[in-house]
Amino acid sequence: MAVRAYLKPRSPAEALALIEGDERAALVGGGAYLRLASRGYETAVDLCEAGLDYLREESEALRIGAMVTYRRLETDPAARNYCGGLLARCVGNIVGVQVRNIVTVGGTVAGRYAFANLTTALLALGADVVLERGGRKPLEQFLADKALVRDVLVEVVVPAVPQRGAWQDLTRVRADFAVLNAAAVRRGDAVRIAVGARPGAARLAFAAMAAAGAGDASGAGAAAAAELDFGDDLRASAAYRRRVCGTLVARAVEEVLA
Amino acid sequence: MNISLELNGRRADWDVEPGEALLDALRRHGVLSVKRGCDTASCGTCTVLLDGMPVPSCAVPAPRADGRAVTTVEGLPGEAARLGACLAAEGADQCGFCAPGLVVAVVAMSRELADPDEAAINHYLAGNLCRCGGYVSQTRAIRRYLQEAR
Amino acid sequence: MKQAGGMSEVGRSLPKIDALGLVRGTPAYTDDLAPREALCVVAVRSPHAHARILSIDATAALALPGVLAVFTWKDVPRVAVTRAGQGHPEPSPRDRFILDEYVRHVGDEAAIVAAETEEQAREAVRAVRVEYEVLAPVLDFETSLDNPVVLHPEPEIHENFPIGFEPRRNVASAYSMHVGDVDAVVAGAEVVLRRRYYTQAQQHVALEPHCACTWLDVHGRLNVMSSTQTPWHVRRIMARALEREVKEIRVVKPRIGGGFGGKQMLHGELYCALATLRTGRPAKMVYTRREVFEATNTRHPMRLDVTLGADRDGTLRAIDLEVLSDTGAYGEHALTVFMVAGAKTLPLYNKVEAVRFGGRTVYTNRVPGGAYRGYGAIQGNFALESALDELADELGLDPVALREKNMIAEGETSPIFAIMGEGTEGVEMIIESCKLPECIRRGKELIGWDAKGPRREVAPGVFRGLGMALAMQGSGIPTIDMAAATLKLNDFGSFNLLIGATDLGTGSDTILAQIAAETLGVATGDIIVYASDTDRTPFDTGAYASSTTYVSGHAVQTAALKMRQEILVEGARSLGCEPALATFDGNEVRGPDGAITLRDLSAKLLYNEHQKQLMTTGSHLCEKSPPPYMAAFAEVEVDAATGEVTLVDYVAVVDCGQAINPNLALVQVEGGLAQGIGMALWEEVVYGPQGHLRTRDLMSYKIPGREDIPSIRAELVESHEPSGPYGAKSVGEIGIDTPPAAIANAVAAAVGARVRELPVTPEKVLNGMGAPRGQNR
Repeated sequence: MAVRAYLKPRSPAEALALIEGDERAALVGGGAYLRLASRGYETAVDLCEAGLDYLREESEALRIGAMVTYRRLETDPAARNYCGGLLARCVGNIVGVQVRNIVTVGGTVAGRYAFANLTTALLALGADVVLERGGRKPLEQFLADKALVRDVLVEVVVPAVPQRGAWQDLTRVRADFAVLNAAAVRRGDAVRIAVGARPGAARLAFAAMAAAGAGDASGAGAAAAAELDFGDDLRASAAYRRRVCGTLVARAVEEVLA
Repeated sequence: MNISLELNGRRADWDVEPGEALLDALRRHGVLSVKRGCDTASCGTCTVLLDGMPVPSCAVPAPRADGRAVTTVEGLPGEAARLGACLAAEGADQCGFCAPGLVVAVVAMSRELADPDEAAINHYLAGNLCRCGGYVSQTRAIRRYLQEAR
Repeated sequence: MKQAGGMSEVGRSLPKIDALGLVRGTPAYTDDLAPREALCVVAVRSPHAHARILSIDATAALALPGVLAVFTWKDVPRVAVTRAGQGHPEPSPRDRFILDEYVRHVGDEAAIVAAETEEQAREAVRAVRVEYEVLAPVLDFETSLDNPVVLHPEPEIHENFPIGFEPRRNVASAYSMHVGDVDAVVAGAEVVLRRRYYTQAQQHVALEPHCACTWLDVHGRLNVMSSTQTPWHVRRIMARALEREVKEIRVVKPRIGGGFGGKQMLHGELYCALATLRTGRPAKMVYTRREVFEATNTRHPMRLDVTLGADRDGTLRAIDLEVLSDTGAYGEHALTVFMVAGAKTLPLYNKVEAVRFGGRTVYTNRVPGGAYRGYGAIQGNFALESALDELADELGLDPVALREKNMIAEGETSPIFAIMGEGTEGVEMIIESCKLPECIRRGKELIGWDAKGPRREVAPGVFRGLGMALAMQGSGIPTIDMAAATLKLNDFGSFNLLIGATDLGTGSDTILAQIAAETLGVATGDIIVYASDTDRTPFDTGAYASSTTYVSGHAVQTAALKMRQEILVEGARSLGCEPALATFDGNEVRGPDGAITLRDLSAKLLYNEHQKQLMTTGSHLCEKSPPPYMAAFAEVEVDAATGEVTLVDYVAVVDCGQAINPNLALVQVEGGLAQGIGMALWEEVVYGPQGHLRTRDLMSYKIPGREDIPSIRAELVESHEPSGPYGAKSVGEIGIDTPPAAIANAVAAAVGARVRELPVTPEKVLNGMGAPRGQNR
């Protein structure tokens, strides 16, 4: 199927209208794997002019427009200083500056890529997503939704309250997708912990969170390794992932407890 | 479809395919410094500046360049000559296939970072692969270029 | 400016002559230069690891707009060839056809489509209906020998001379040799070490994907432009495959974006030629990165069984190396890569009483093995240099001391030089230059070998370790590699240097110009290089086997010496004196009663008096292959909790003879090291259970980026090889050989994990961690 039309709607509502009634239309977020795309669509709907490239700091939240790029998470002070730089750190080794200039927050989250570091960090932060049709919902719920509803992801909302974040990942070469990643975010005595690239999609580690809340970093690591499922892929085996999961989680928890 | 862009400071009106990558449109229109190396935005040989920002042109839909400024190494002759001289002096250049994309990325870096140390250079340019030279001489050359540019 | 040794052009780090043009993005590579109206050629590739094609229906494809032709195995000559660009006749089996009824790996060509645009061609590829009878594949090379599944039953395939080719047994080649009675010496040795090692398939990842284009010129001859390392081999093999005369074909190599051996085989050339010969139109084929992974070549994976026999004092008495090599679907470089695993490693330890080498190369339904920088040597080096460290550990000796006690030295030889060549017998050779002692001394000093000790804990649970390895290579293939060069004197004193040699980005055009300039006494800038064109330059076997500086450089030197003599004769004639009384210093010919500048003489020769063209040709046959040597030292940091290995330092000290251009020699070493480091730690071609590649792009197959390579420190030691041009040996491959062993040895030192199967992944390190080995230094 060849792409026959390329449209640039001026708002998410307009974008939704374009894809809603047309199974052959697809959204273009970052466009990173354009040359690999199977061309399963005839109409490309590019969100680059839909007004979604904003970062808005509110009293209790940071609103990240879907078209905000990874690079902006590193360079825009609102994102760079957020939660000790957690957002900037988790995307910092994604290939190179060029790619981080085009890959978007919305494209990552909406694509539900299991390898995405950002999703792990957002889960640990307790992010919500806002959809044009579906409204606001917790990221966990969005990721768990199996039915693919045609919708436009408008923004990601993360809480902006006193909190500490830590990031841990293992990669093969530096600029690569993670073999395993982990994020911990502490608010008061509560710690939220997410682990991704297992290689399945990022999950919260509830037992680990309980242990971390009690101040036990190594216990949190052991709990995460025990409670999560791990698989084999090109980058590592399930056994290896389980073995190092404890270390990564413990290190992240130590950092936020310190 | 028709797009109109500013290519290296000059207006260009092109007919592009809606599904075409900017890389392919550039090469089809004779901008041959932009190299196709990997198809997955992984190697950096197709780096161009889009409104001044370095991007992999293989991953940018050509229609997205409509109304924007695209800079390739053809539009950076002075920078290319100066960085090229540094690369040659350090014996860092080999097959040259990665060089135009590297020049574009180095120019972007020099505008973005004030005084990058070696680690910052290596991090900024991590998306520009080189398979011939092992990076060490190249980094020396880039530092020399940045020093001379100051 | 005169350099040490009185040389003014050789030994200078001159800029590469094409540097500026390439940095500016001047169109220079095949895809830049292909005719704009060229048809796009794209292959229909097998989705199966092993299958017979029952039928191909191209009706729908041919009906699509812009589609001019579809070729299947029924449309092409049935001539068995090898794609391996090697000497004639090739030491690789002729085991493939332009297209065949069988496909033998995922990505193998099933049909070829030519269309007006790339998009149309790819659309047509999707429309070609191929019906396959899927056959059981052989995916594990350790089960290939005598497997009921035979990859190559076709009757036309053959070996050109005995290489142990037994296709009915899935054997592409076999070889064995021995000196002395290895079993008896091992039986009498005080310590015997037996170890098995594995090396993986590695992809070259030249940043320019393979590319070729073809057109017919005004004389109706087939012109081929290709990113190839071997234009003459391409021409010869194309002529055979297409059932044409060699004289009907011209092959040109423009600038190429890296090769590393990956462009030593034919790829798109034959398919473009089919399209051009059928339609009369220019045609080009540009591989996608996925096609490069699926349908070119990889380094041959190997299983290497090493037995070392030694005495307690560290005297190495016997080495036995048994190799099983995986050549994938076709036997490209099958024999030679495998032989080099012994030929370019075993002579390092020439004092043993007995040495044995042997084994087989077998077929599997994987991407074919092929030439890749350091071929065979890096596999053998990993096994032998790892085993030596394991032996040192067992003997309680410093690994450096063990090597120093047993390694080859200047004035010595090894019987292996005469026994093992590449595919044939070798030649006897006394080593005239070997600065290994200096390389080791300097390397130890740079890395801090004695000061640091083998292992340190630098933070809780974080350990640093030091490891090392020695390496040798060759310089060309004796009695096979041959090169020629022609110099032409132009009016007003410049020269055209016409060389068959193939600069694949290494800077050899520059280096050869420096040799010509040095010999003539002129500046390198006065040498205009034109290279790698089968019509317009003299012959050269090509850029492989570390041959260009040593072999082609010699041809250039010979041509330049002849040119000097002709200039002298013509200058003397112009001055009216006997040639014997005249001298030429590069600037002028001086006789007893006066002088004439080269500038004036050259103009007179073409316009005014005794008019004639001065043109000289030198050719050189490689008669010996003096090895360059390296001592390499790695420092790694290992996180004992995760097994992560960070390479923190790498020191490489090289004896490559006289460096013609030190900067370009060093960048060869640095680039080779980076590829070797990639193989040591990350790079691996991985297949799924049905033989589908899981690493088919640069997201899944990771080559090192600039944050992964530490500040490598490469140095050259002073050395002079009497048989080389201006004392030069080779430097193109030696750099890649050491990292796998040196890094594995360093990891073992740091945390006791002995990884015998490359790459050294965190997982293997973690699994292998036991007690750190003894503090033996």
